[in-house]
Amino acid sequence: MNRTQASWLLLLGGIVLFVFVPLAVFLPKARAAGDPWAHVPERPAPTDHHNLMPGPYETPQDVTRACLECHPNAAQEVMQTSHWTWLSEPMKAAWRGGEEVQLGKKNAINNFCIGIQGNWPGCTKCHIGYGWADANFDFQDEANVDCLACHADMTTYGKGKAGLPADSVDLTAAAQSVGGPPTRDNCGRCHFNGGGGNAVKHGDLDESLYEPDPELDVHMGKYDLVCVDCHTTEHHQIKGQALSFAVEKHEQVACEDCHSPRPHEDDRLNDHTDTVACSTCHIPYSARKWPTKVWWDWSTAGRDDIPENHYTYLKIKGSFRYEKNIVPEYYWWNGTVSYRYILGDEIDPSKPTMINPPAGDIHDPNAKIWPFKVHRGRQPYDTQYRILLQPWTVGKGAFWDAFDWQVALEKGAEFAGIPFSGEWDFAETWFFYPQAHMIAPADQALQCTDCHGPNGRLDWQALGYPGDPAEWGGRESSSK
Amino acid sequence: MTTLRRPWLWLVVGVGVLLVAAGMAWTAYAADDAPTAAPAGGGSPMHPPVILRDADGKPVVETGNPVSTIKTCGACHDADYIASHSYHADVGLSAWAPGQQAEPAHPWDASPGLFGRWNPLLYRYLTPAQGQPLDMGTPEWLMRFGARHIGGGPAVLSRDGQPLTALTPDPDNPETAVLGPDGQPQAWDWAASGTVEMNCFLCHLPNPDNEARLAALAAGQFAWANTATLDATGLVHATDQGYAWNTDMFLSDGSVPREVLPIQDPTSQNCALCHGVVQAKGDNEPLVIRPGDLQQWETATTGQIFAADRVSESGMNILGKSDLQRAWDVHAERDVQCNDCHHALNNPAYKEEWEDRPRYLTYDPRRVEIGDYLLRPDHDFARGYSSQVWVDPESEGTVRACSDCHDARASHEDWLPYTERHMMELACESCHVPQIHAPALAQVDWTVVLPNGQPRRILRGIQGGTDPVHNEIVGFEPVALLKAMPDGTQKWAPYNLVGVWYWIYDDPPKPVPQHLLRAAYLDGDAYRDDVLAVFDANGDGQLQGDELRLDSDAKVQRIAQNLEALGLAQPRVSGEVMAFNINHSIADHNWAVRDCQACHSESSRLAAPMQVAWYVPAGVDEPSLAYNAHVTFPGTWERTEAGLFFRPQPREAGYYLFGHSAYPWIDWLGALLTLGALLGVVVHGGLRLVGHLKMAQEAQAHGQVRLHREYMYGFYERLWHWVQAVVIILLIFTGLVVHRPETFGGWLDFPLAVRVHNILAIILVLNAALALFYHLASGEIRQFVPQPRGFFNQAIVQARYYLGGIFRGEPHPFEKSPRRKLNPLQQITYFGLLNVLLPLQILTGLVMFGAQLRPDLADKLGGLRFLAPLHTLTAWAFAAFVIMHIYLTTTGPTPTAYIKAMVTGWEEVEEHEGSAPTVASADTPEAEA
Repeated sequence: MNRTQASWLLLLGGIVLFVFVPLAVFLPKARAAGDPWAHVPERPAPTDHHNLMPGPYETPQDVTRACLECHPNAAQEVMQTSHWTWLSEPMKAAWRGGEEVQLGKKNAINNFCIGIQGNWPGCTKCHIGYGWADANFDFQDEANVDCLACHADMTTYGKGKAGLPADSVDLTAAAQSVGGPPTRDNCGRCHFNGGGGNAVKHGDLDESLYEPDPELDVHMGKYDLVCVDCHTTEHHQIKGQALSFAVEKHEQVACEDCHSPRPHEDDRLNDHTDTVACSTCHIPYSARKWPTKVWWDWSTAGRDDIPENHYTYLKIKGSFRYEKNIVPEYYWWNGTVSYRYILGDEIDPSKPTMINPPAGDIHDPNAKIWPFKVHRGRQPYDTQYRILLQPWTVGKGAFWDAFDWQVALEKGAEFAGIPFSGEWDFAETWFFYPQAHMIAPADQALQCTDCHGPNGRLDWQALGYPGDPAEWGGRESSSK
Repeated sequence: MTTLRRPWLWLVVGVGVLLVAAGMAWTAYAADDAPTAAPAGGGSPMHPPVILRDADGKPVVETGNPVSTIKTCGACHDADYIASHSYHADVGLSAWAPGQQAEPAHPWDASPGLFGRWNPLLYRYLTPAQGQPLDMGTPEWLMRFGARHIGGGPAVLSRDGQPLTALTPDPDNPETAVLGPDGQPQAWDWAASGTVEMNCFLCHLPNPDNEARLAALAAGQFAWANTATLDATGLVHATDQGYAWNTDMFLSDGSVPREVLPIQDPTSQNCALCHGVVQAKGDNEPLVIRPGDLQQWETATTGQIFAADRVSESGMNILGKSDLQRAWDVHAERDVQCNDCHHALNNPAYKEEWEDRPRYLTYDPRRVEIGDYLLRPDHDFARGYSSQVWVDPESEGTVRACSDCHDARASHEDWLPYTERHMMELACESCHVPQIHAPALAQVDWTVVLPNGQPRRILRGIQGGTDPVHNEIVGFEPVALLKAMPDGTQKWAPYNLVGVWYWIYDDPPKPVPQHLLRAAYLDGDAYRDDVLAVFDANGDGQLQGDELRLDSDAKVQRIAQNLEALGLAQPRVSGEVMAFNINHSIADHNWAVRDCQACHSESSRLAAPMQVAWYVPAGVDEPSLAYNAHVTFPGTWERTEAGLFFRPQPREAGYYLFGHSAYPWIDWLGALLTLGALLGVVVHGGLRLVGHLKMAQEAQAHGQVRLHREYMYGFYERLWHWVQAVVIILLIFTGLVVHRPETFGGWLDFPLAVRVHNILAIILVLNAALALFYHLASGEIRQFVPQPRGFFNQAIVQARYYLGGIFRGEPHPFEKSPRRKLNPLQQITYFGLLNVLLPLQILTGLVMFGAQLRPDLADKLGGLRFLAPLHTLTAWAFAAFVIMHIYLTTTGPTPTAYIKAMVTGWEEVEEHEGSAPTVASADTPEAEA
């Protein structure tokens, strides 16, 4: 390096040091905002299976066996999941003195179609296996795992009775359609139709999410996310847990997986996030596209004198009420249930029975105020034993065939392994669904006066506050 | 939990409130089974059931008489104290003094308030005294203006403090007279009509029936007006004679269950009944206003709407509505109620900081307790510095100011340059009311009347009509005026202006009574023939559009003659502009004005004109501005074909607004200087080039000039020079952006330019100071000081060289050496630069920068209006210098010799006769590696 160059460099260095470094130091910095996209997993590139799955396949199990040739662990992995077992891990039920229980669709009831025992062929249409038609289903047979339900292109595949492919399915075409990660169609076919039809069950999951407007679901409609972008999966264990059987807390999908816990520009809003779930403000209404079922009264089922209508009455099911754009109900929730009705539990028929009340209150630091869709209904119970009953509905001579409550309840009790005195009536029950999907764009989020002030939608005293926390202070001061 | 500055203070207040609340809750519990649940539909759970009593104190359920609020509420509260501590009730009665009102007031005003101060929008003139032709007597005032009066005051008492009911009916006394249908005064019997006590229900019920109240007032059923307010509760029903009590709604002791009469703290809805449009989110009705309806006073006069709803959710046809996802008012959106800021002055919960306390005290525990407060709540509510309110001057400025709740510095200093300065000169509303999205009155012309007796009104912010659902609302930007505070300071603040024209007569003047004005124009519901003859240009028998304007002397004379014929002396047209301050419809930070160039540009919103007239009646001068309080009009009136405009002139008002207030002549001068320098160097350089080419042939003949290398500049000298060079050039460019952002702002954001400019300026000052120290300490300073002896001769020699010799390739007249680097011309140039320009630039810059901390200092030095142009001019001089300076660096033995020297330190120096190299190149170890 010659002298001239050295001088240039030195002077240049001096200018940078004395002019540009101070500028860089003293100019105000833009506040660094976290980038939610950094947390969205990269989707694996699809693999074309046309040549890998030549077929033809006689049975769906043949397809599974073909899959296992290349993915030898896949079936075993699936068989560990609740998609297969329809049972939870063993959990301690506090209200039963810490008794260890395993709960799931397999053995628990709700207040929709109530229970699957004895009704398998109808209910197991959504089981991730083939042929669960009775109590003798072989849960150990790898070949019964239905790979196609989650991995086939759903234009080529559909499930029928007992989870077997529908008659019209071309197994070879379905097997060859396997490609990338599960799509909205794979998940939605069961999860958007929970409770027996589109939008019936959840309030925040329905077929509008196949192709949602940005206004309906900002993640899926505007940013094109799919279910498994948030419900990330490892070894076929899919993250996320419904409240239905959440006796203990499991790993849950959370907004904070991608978003900062203090994501707002306004600190006043950020001060809410310890107490208020994101979805409380960002899901201003439930069931914004399709009406969801909020009331189901089994006691009128079987009558011929009430006109049938999908939204108000079906002879096989009884009377309903559907609503859309529902203002959610708000409860404290820490991610688990404080109680979960288990077959044989006694109820007090004089008041509604909470089947899965959310756990948490103002004193629980892990609880936040969440929006819920609550499904209320009346379902059969044994007036002598004061236990909820599970009717036998599917099959020849079952309720949906013969409309005979006596037979349906007696046979159902036998299937479920509970006593039946022969005397029954109908009791009101509530089922809780926390709302977490169908996040609206930010400008549709609730505003201050939606909750605070004279016309707010929250019942502060019911939540444990002495009054509106905008005036009385937050939970820290209220829970002392 | 929010941090409380004085936790113990809150504790004391809190414990007090709790004790009283507990006491009252217990009382309530003893009387009722539901102690805590608020009654359905609002109401305070603490307020006990009320026994409604009549004027004799007997339960109305027994007597069937109208309710007396004073007797009913007075059973527990000190109703007389409340009624006598309320400018809402008094509305000027206590300051009744016709013709003797303090400024600003019309000469014909009788009081500072609604009762006696003539308001050109409402027009009707309360006849002040016996002997004047009756325009509006007290009974009619109550029928018409009672709609926006809470009762009490002049609705109960005569002007000399007697009960109105004690007055003898007399058609000649304006207190007991109403105009009959024939235009003749008729006697009014107050004893028969009753009076209107202060109406507690209107503000303290969640569901007051204002329509029933207005109907009772308009019908002259004054005694029943307050009872009518209860119509929606089901306690009463209307009868032919007034109202009858539904006795089955009462309990056996004559009281009314809380559910039926839920008494509560006033909400914004209560205030809205008289003051403007308020809507709480949750009542699901899309918001629609009645543009220009004076019952919605604040909304009609300013377009202000205090509502939590978003503009996009309104039921009105607002331009670009779907994008206006902002609340009408952010405070309403955040559940702030009117009385949170306009609180009762002795409400202990709102005790303000104690301003004139002794130095050694921070808190005075001896104050009104909550119980005392509930007994005697002061109903003079905190209020601001309104331009149109004159009653109760003591309460001015008591309203919660923005700064009482907000720390504006904390929310602005991380992005707003000169935060302090902005806060000092601008009211928060200036930026936080970026746009009014509703129509407002703009012009009211009472010089003409429509067939219904109303004036011509023009609204701003709405196009094609006055229907907010079908006509398009475009909204408007408020005009910036200077709001004057009593402490002498003033700030720019947003206003709406309404131009009003009207007839006055007589001397001292009075407004023409509305019924006479009507008679001058109309015969029944049709225009008089003599009026049509002058006004009806197209002869269709109607007066429409421009026809109904006093736009010619003939029209003015016609009406004046008609008025004279009606007995009015010297009728003439007068006008005024009413300024209405805008403090609501506040936008949050996302919607506030944040773009610096909204103000710092040629089209600055601080200088945006506002139209106050679409036509000005013939023969009228500029309208009077005298009848506005706490405001000055910093600008000029512009009268064009389109009408009359007010244009604020910040610079003329003493505000130099960077980016807006530039003096064009300064820039022309500076640009001329710079261009001159550029032209000079181009010409000079061209001549040199020509000379050089000519000489190239003769070079051999002359022989080479002998050169040797000198170590001319030490490293520090080169470093400070280049740092300064970069800084000055960047300062000039960033300065240009700040100075004329529209022309130069394309490449740099305005606020960034401001900050970079300031940081660079600090670097420049530090660099200059260090260099000065170096030159002083090393003695090199002498190089810059011209030696008096022979200086002028030498300078002339040098000048002649630049003007002649240089073109012929002659050697420089003076040899350059490390001891003498500067020739005489350079010396004089740098002497000027370093002693005049640079200090001047630093000083003016520093004072302007410091104006936010020491505005007085800037003002002493001429203010920004003087300093900023000076700074600009000096900057131009610097630019000219830079051009010359760079050019002159090419005049060395080779064009780049001097630049190289300033980089490496080594310079090729011409050898002159008798001189020898001072430093041998061998001395430097690394010569030309």
